[in-house]
Amino acid sequence: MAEPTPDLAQLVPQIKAALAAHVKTTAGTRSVLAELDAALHESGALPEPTPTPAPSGPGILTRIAAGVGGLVKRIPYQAIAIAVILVVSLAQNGGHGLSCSGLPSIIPTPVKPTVTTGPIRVIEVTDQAKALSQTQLEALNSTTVRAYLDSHCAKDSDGRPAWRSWSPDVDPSGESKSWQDAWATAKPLASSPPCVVIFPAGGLPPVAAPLPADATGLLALLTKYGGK
Amino acid sequence: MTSLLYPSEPVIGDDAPARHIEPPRGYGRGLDYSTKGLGFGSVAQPFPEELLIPESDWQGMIQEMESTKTRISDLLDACGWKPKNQQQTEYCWVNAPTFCVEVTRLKQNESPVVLSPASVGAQITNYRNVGGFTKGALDWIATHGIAPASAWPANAISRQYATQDNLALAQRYRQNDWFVLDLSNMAQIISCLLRRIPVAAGLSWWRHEVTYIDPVWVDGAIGVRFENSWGEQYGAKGRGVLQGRRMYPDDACAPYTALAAA
Repeated sequence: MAEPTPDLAQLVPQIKAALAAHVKTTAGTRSVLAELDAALHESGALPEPTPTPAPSGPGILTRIAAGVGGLVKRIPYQAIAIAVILVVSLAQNGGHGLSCSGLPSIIPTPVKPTVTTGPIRVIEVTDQAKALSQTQLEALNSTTVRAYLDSHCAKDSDGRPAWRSWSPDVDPSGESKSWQDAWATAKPLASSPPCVVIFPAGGLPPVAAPLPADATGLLALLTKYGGK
Repeated sequence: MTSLLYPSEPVIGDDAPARHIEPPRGYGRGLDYSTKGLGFGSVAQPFPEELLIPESDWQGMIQEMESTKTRISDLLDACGWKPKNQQQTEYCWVNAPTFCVEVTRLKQNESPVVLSPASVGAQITNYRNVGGFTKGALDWIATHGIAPASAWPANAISRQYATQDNLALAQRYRQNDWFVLDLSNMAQIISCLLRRIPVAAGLSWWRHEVTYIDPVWVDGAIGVRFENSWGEQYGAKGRGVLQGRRMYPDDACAPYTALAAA
């Protein structure tokens, strides 16, 4: 049996403690802890047997361990520990992210992408020859929305707010190079008008969204990227 | 429900007083259908049936767009946009479509450029101060564009401004798409206005062409708010309302997409 590396030997009690904190509520989850013990034992991560009783039947971790046979012993202990924690945590959380409070930060926690607000550039893409709902027409023609765009959009080289309301087949050849480039980027995203293409601050990639149902929805969408 | 009219806004019904109809002293009008046959409409489209809005919805929609301040007149006020002023020219038939192009550009948030009706009318008429009609003007505008008034003064019927530079500059201000509306079809006109598409409307009874910008509901009946081309001194800062038989045009075009140009 391989000798556990010192750092893993230090981690094992912490892993167990954290798992115990998560699985102490039901009998079913207690067996997961027992299986973890068995797996860690077999891999050599635990130097001595633990007092936790063995499960009555082969659990999923045991079967996995048996299936991979001697390979388990050649896998680095850190990988085994991480795999076990992933399985348990995913089982507990229904597959929606990890819950490893109390563990050292050996597993990167998924970080929700944050939206940076700031001066935006916007292209509303609508076909006037196609029917829009009354509230969508109000959104596109709202002086409130227009005032928001005027005050929260980046400024073009001529000092004017960087937003446009264009048809899907617009010819921007008379526009500045930056708008021609913006349209070249936005057009593939605007394949299902009416929609709104927003270029967030900081040079982030543009995002496209269907034109909201009304002015309130359009303002909410713009505010998400342009700030309040 | 009755639309809230602008201060001193005239309502021109079937019995309108002459003072709201006659041009100011020294001003022109210019609608003239005798020039028809010059060719028009190469890129114009008929009004799509799917854009028709049932008459039963008109009053409610008008009330809604007034309360939300989403009319074309609200856009013009927010932008501080002035009416055209044709002065002594007979170019009402160019002023109205030119104003439509300006409105379309404002909606698209293109640079707010005041355009020169004379740069179109003078070239179409071979530098004569005579009348014409909407479709002829729009056909020219789609092909050649309109020069900015900063380069070609708005009422200057003079060859001196037809420079290569100005003709090239005019190319930036072209109208891409418009609907040609059926003769006196108010359902199409009101549907355009409810969709915030301005309508250049030629009125034979007035021998004049104006731009319809808003639908209105006055005294239990539909009407249209128009932007005249007789400067700000006309009506309510250049605006008035037509109702009854007076609002039925003899030709009408609704431009809705302008070339995107700074």
